[in-house]
Amino acid sequence: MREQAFLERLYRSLFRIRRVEEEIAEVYPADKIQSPIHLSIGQEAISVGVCEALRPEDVVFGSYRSHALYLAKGGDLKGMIAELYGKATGVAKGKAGSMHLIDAAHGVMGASAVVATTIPLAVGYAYACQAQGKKSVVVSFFGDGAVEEGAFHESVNFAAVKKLPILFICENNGYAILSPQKNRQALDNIPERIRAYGMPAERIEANDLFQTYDRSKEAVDRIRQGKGGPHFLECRTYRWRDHVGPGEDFHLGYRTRAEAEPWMAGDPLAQMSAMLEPSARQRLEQEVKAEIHEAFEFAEQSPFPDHEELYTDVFREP
Amino acid sequence: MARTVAQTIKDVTRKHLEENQGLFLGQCVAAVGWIGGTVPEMTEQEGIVELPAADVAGPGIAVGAALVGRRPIFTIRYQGFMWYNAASLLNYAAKSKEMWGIPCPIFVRAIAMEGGVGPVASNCHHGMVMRMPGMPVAAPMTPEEWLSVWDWFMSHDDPLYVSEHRRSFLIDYEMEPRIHRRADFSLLAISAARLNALEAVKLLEKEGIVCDLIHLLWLKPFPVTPVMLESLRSAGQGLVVDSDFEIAGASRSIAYELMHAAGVPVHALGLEDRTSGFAPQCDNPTPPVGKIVRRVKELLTSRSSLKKVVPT
Repeated sequence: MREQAFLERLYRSLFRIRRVEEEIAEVYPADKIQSPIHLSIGQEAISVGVCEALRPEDVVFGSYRSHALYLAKGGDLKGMIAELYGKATGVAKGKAGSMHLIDAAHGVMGASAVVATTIPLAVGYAYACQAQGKKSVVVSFFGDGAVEEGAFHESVNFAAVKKLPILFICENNGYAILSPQKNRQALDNIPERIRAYGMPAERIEANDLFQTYDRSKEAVDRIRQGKGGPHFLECRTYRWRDHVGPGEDFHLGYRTRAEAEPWMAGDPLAQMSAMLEPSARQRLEQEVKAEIHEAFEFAEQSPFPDHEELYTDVFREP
Repeated sequence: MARTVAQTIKDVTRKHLEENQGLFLGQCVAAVGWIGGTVPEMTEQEGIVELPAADVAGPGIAVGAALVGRRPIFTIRYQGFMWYNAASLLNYAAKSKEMWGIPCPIFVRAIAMEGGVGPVASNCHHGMVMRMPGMPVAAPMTPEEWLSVWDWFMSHDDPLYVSEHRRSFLIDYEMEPRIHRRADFSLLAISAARLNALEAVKLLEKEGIVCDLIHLLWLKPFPVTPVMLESLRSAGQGLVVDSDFEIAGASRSIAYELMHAAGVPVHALGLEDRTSGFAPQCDNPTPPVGKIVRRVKELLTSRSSLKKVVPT
């Protein structure tokens, strides 16, 4: 039996991410958001389940689809929305946009537009933490497309050899952009391949929030105790919206609405909603909506960066 | 006996690992002569990290360590491998401070060599890095130059691309500029081309052609100095010689800057626009001494003929 506070925490995080992204999608056609967006709607349970198992001092690295990860790890909401608007108050002063969110103070060490490129960074971060005796656990998030990259294989090999304090999370939504996994990988056996590197690896089916949390918690606790090094979780999930953009893309023909429907029917947000007392749920939702409204207002009211900002943080003359 | 460049790098690396909690990362560090004798024979516990054959992830691992503040030295044993190693260095380390305000100080030792090393491993490739914002580039060839570049790295929070050349490793002297009161020609040289240019200048002097020779250490940002401008204006034209490709390379980029700053023609000479082969006849080395001599003479001749038809 899960504690009510735990359930409320998970629901709040899920609902917050979903509402933030729905609001982004609503605002997007007005052209106020200055960068391309890759929404996580449908995939939130992975980030929420994993990050619930982490401590503030733990560190995550993400991919270009990292709104959910950023928020689940505690990234600043106002700074995120302002960043999407390209405003000076954004987490990267409007320079980075949706695909490069960062909030180092909350352990979000950054995301990148290029597939698989933050995986070795996470491994290097874990290596240095281990060498310095830090107790932080590093978590590397990436999609199923990244598993095909050389950088991924080189990274997991190194992590296994050095028994690094890192948890690899493969958010397998079945598509690399628009290409289905079966067209890209001969076998649907990612964990099996990872185990060949000498690292425990397992699959979590169907957006299972509780299993994601339980397996992550066990892995993170073991890693933190210095017992045996890295761990790999393949988390099966499904993207509801466009690969990039605010809408749906079933009309493109590379997938069908019928394929999506079972995932939508099993939406963890709806399942969690049913587990809460209605009054508690409504209270949480009102709080979250007010916070989101405030964050968008903040972004709207914030100034664009001055032209002089173009020359800040650049390197100095030798 | 004076200290060589290799010994200088080795000593600085040892001190960095022992005193600064620094890291050294690279492939095959211990296997083949500790990278030309430039790496101290230390253990992983002491900071030497042997990376697997991970050309794409290896630099990313070093960049990750840089984010923790270990100021890693990352070594690319053949500079041509930068084409594989570039992703994390140029797409993350170079942008991190400007985009996120988070410095990523990593010292990239990219080592060039030449002479039968084939299509991938040959010579310098600093030009590809120069076009990426956020990554300063230097090409030291002497012990003091290498030390000055290291001091710059340790006093800044930026990544730094150091284009080393194996031909520098045994150098145990400094190279001063050769400036004359009324030189016929102004030569400016980068990396191993400096050694060839030095020999070319001696040959040209035997034929009565007096050349200034200015050694270029910093490629980006490129400091245009009064000495360069005076030499170029006095000689009336110049030539930048480099161990990297000429087209879209450092030599043309710097020649362009100098031409506009000095108001006289400045030409470029670098590697030819073709792949290096392993066989000597297929190689694409730093412009050899004879080629530099010929180019200088051609330019002097063409300037003379130009003067005849275009009154100044």
